[in-house]
Amino acid sequence: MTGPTPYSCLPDRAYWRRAVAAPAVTDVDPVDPPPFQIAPADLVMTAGSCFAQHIARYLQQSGFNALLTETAHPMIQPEDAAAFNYGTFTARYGNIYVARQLVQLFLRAYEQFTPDEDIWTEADGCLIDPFRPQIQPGGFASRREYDLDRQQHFAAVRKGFETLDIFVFTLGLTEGWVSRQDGAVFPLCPGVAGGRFEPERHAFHNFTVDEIVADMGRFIGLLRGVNPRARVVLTISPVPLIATASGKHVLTATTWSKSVLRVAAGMLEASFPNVSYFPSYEVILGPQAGNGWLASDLRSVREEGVAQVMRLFFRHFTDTEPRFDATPEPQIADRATEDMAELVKLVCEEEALDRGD
Amino acid sequence: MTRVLLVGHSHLTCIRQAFDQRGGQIEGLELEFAQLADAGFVPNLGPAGDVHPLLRQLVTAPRFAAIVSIIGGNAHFSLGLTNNPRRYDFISPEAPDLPLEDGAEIIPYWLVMRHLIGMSHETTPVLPAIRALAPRIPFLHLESPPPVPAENVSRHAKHFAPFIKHYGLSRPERVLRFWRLQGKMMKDICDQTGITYLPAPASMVDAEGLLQRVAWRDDPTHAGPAYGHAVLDQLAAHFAQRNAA
Repeated sequence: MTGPTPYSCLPDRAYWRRAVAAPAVTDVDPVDPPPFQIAPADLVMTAGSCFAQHIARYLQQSGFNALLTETAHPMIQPEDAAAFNYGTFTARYGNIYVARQLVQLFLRAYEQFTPDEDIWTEADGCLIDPFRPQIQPGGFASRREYDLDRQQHFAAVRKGFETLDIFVFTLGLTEGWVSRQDGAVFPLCPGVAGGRFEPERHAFHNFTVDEIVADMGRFIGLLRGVNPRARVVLTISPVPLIATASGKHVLTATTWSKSVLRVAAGMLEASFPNVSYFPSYEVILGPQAGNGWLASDLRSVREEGVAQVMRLFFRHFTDTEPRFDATPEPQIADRATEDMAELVKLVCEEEALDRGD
Repeated sequence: MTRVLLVGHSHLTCIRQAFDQRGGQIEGLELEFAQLADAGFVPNLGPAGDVHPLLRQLVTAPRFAAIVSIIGGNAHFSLGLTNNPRRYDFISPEAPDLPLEDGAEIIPYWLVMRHLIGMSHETTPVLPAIRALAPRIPFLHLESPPPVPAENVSRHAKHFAPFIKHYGLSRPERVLRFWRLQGKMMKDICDQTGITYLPAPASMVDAEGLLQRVAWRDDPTHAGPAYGHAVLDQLAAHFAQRNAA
């Protein structure tokens, strides 16, 4: 006869069979009770790797207060605005894959860091921002546009940090490309979407757990320095590496990378108040899911998988049912431009029919 | 004698007026006009982008030795004449140092270009569509007249007066930027389709790049017959040179 043990009175969620193996895949809920809730009025800023775009989109579609501080002018058609990355995230910073990139975005926005390699000029004369190389098709048309757009962008980033209630950050990668001059982190290897790879200037770096914890810790400190009420949700992108420069097989490199991120996220959650880890990685890639949430490339996450992640997100962080089919608030049309265009058409028709006799 | 078909929308009118003032006589040229806003040609393009049958018939008629277009050419005006409730501006790479509208947000140049292309969807595609029907004939496109200076716009604001009162006129550099952007949009089409792009006659452009006073008329956006005369001279010189060559 054995006595009670610490396992005797644990809930179902502590047992693999009851919590993972037995339930239907949509009933597997690995989310621990978060330390805070998100109210519909809370301003939610999103950033991170490409998976973060899904989170941002669902927040917008679900009636939550997705914070947008860098919006397209209302005259711009939605498809054009999307092509220029307005509304993808809170501001037009593009994908942020590694933690140090996030720290450096903060420092650059607050003029505490200006990378040496701050602009790329392409052969056709267009200018590329090394830190958001795919932010707009065709790049920037002139240096002045580049500089003024960046001023606007940094102002929007600062406004985001200073006004948000919740910061949702999706950690994506540990592998990155770093300037040998000043440590600036590029989101993509120079030469991939602009610039030119130069081994004497650019170095591969695979960030460690300690580095990521230190970088995220520094960022949280900086963020709370300008916004003490900021609460942080950390997620990890389930999307594997598209390629690795580590010399390892891409599968083992992916496992290493995601494991490092997972450990770092756990350490950060344990170390900082009001920092919560949300297990989107486990929801998509846990064995309960098989490959069911992945597309045929075993990399992209199917829409149903994203919806499952977001259902759990809303279940635990909010007290409302998400309305995934809700259409986003329509942008207020630019009546002035539309009215003007109509008027010009009218005047031109009159002119065209004027024979002058 | 070179027989030339001139096709266009509202900016064709001043050329037609000048032609009439000359009694229909231009040295070396026989001109025929096709006003594309006339009911007979509307819509210029069908839903599938097909050219109106009458227009198709005209532009493929063997009697013409050349086609000259002044299609579209006013999309810039809708955007550039007045400021916007959400004030914006953009930087032209050809003249990046020109002053910007005070306090305006900056929209990327290529995004404004996309928007302009979208706004002129009823007129601009007519040019390549016609060119496709007449791929071998000499084909010219005329730049639209430079913007009318604020002095004359204010004097003859017509329907635009409430907008001007409400939002204020743009600074001239902004107006000019939009006109140049439109020129770039049309020139790109010309370059892609083998059409010769003829800039506005130099004599009609003032020191600021705006329309010369002599070509002003009682309209905030269209030029008067003086501009048409300059274009006719330009065309006569162009074809004389071409024929001599």
